Amino acid sequence: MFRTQKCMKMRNYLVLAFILLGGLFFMNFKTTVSEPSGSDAVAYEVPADVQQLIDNSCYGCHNSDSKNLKGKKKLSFDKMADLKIFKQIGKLEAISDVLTEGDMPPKKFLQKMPDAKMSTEEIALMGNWASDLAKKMTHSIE
Amino acid sequence: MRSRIIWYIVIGLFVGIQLVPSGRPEVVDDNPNDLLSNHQLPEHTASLLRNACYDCHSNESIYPWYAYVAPVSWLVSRDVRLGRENLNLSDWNSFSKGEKLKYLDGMAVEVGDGQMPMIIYPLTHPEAKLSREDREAFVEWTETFAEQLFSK
Ligand code: HEC
Ligand code: HEC
Repeated sequence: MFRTQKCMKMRNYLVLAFILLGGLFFMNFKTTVSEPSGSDAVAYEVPADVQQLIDNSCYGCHNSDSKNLKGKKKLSFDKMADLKIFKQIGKLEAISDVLTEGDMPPKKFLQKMPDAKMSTEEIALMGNWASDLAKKMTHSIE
Repeated sequence: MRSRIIWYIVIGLFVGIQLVPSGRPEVVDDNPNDLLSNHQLPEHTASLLRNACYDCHSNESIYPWYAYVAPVSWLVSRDVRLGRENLNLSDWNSFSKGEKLKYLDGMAVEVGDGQMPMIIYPLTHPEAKLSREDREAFVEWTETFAEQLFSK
């Protein structure tokens, strides 16, 4: 009688230990499950040919040390990678827009700096990069 | 005698320019894609948008009396026309997710930086004067709202 009671007690402890361990595994499992949605997200990347166009025609006004206050507040290429994905997508959409509209680089600036003028092909290259990447990034978090 | 003639000319010109059409954008009451009528936004955000932005950035502009008197009417009409062209919140639900993110980022930059509402606007619309706290809370809302676009 005494022995069986002691056995039962031990069994209870064992069951309890299993439940606790199981709970721990489950909790671990849950945290690892919630992560991939973040890592599936397509990252902001600039191919070399586009980067060259940015450096030549945009970067002077659109970087975080720029003297062009309005330009840098709207868009700083050197800070793009640090932004939240929602912001990155929004800015890529704006880049694609200004290129289709022919708003950037500003016309006045091009009169002074004709070297910054982009050819139709170059505009298309940068515009497609921005709109394709924005679409890919959007789908990756949907 | 001379000053009287000058007055007649001034009044005549004033009456004359009233005949020049101002091109004032139309007010449309029924906007099925409107941001505020489709989304339950936090109260302070909704009233900020309504009080400080909707006159220029929606189809529901409320025109003050001077919007009907030239030459001021020309200026008001121009602001509303350009405002709607750049961002019409009455069309919100017709935008793609990418466009919505673009506009949310644009609103955050403009309001965060004190560029919007246009500086002259709060002179006649004191309820559109925004404090630093108002601006910060609004910028935060743009980020929360952007995230909500992707949560189901
Ligand atoms: C001479 C300086 C200058 C150069 C060069 C320049 N920008 Fe800009 N950019 C500006 C300024 C200033 C603004 C803000 C305009 C405003 O708020 O009206 C701006 C705004 C923008 C915006 C935000 C537009 C919006 O409506 O929100 C984008 C996107 C942009 N530029 C992209 C580019 C790209 C891409 C290039 C290169 C192809 C470029 N810019 C070259 C000065 C420049
Ligand atoms: C008195 C009219 C008026 C009011 C009020 C107003 N705006 Fe504007 N807004 C304009 C005009 C005009 C433009 C176009 C300016 C330009 O093209 O340079 C504009 C442009 C913008 C843009 C686009 C900027 C760009 O270059 O991409 C955003 C975003 C914006 N406004 C947000 C707001 C927000 C948010 C509010 C309320 C807090 C607001 N505006 C209040 C008239 C107004």
